[in-house]
Amino acid sequence: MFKKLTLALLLSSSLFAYNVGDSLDKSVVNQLSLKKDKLYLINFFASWCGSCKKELPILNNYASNHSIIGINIDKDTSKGKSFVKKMGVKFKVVYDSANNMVKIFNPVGVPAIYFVKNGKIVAQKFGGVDGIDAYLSKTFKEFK
Amino acid sequence: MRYMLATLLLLSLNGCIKDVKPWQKGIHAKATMKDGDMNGLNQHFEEHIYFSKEGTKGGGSVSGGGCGCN
Amino acid sequence: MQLTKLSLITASVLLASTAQAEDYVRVQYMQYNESDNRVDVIAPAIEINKEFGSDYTLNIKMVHDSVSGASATYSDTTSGASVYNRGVVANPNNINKANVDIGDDRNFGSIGLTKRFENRDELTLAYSKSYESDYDSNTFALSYLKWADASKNRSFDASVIYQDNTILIKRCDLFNYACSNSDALSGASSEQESSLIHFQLGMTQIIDESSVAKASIFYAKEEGYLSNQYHNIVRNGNTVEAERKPDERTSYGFGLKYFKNFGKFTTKLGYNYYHDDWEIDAHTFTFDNYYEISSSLTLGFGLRYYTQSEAEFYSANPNFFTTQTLASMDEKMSDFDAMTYKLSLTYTQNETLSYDASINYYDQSTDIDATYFSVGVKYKF
Repeated sequence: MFKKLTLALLLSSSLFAYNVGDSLDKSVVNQLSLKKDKLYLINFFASWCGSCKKELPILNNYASNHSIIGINIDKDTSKGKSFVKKMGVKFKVVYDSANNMVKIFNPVGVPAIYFVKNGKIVAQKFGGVDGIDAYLSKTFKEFK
Repeated sequence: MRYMLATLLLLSLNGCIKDVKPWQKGIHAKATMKDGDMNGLNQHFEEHIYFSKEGTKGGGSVSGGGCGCN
Repeated sequence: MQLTKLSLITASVLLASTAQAEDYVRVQYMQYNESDNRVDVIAPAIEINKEFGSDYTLNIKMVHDSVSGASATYSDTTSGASVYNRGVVANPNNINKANVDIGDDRNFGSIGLTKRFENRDELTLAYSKSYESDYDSNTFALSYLKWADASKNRSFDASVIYQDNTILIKRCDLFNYACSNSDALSGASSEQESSLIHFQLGMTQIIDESSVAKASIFYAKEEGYLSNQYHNIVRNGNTVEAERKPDERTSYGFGLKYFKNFGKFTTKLGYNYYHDDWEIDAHTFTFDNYYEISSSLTLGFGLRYYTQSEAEFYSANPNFFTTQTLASMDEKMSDFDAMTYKLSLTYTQNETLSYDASINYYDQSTDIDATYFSVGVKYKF
């Protein structure tokens, strides 16, 4: 009992977060329908996040040739949908209003980018920083 | 025994101040939660009035905090 | 007309506000009117905030103040009130506190640049200049914001502000101690200097998803000509002179703030304590609230209560000053309370345009009360 309780506490505490090299939980792979041998970019974003507003148009530029999954973390799904429409998001978006998915990943900043291949995290970037376009281009090439 | 001790340790880490996660900071990103007036020019004008009509100065706005998503 | 040291205020505001992640232009019209035909101020202003990538923010503000009306001080009113009606007065009954005409224009500009590092710490540099016919002020400000950890729930900030002022003292022939002997003889104007250095340390802590607390301490030191050349005192009951405040002032204090959101309603509490070696103690309590009527309309209402004790060299009694060197009858140096009542409305028309209007009433326990209002438009680009 204490083993399960400890695991639950660890997963929900700030001590546990996905990092480069970690394998995603099977439930995450299934929920996001991640296929084998394919590189995915998973992006956590919110309508209230100023840096997300700057980053989404850049991600849109990669949407046609790469597999991008956006995870909107607005607690109000209608706000999230309205934001996605306003920003003209061109990639698949999952609405995580209960924040179950983002709790599992536990990123240190928003927006959060995870590159995932074969259920493993191969690269990650947090927060709105300059040079994101160059970072995306380089990372997509490196892990394709 | 190890897991019992680990559970007790983790439970004891909870305090009055919560470890608010980045995705939980939507409220802190609101304009109404910003330090100072929502309008910087109004704040400037208002503080000008106080400094003109009152005998003190010093101590301004405190920056910091926020949505942590910048 | 010596207007107040606006540069210091703006430096403080600038240091706190440059972290906005938005590109916008704001145009504002502000007006201040005191009762009994005293001071009126019209102040159009413009602000530009521009992001350069994710790591740089530039903020520029410009204000033009037109001050008119009258300000009360003691003078020999035999032939009408004038701040320069000084000297020994034959009939002390002609020494009265009366409104003297004032009028001046002031131009103000500030520029601030914020740099964000990879860990999102922030460095801000700001410069502001305020110029009017008898007062030229330059202010330099530097601040650093440091996040305590990766979750960004706690931050520390430190700032230093340096201000240099040049004051043009007029009518040196009229017993102004701030002038040289030659200027006093000729009645010429004389330039005087003052400077200020201000240090502040602060900490911000996010308490939970909907509340945050902030604490700060400050220390400031001023030196030079700190009096107001347009304020007079009465000495020995029969002589009108320019006031003389000390040429140094050391102050310190602390501030506390707590913001809490309850869904559509946000409340902000604040307290500031101030103390200086002029023996002034001051307390400021603020209570600001915002209610989001809808997604596009926000109502703001608030109160500010201020109380201060009097400076050790102040007296309101025209028969008090005799041989004291330091003397002021400036009501700003007296003990008084002040209450401000605030109301505002912000309307967001669409993604790019929003409008705001506010009206405020300021009431001191002295005879000063004033209404000030502001209207403006913000354009995001």
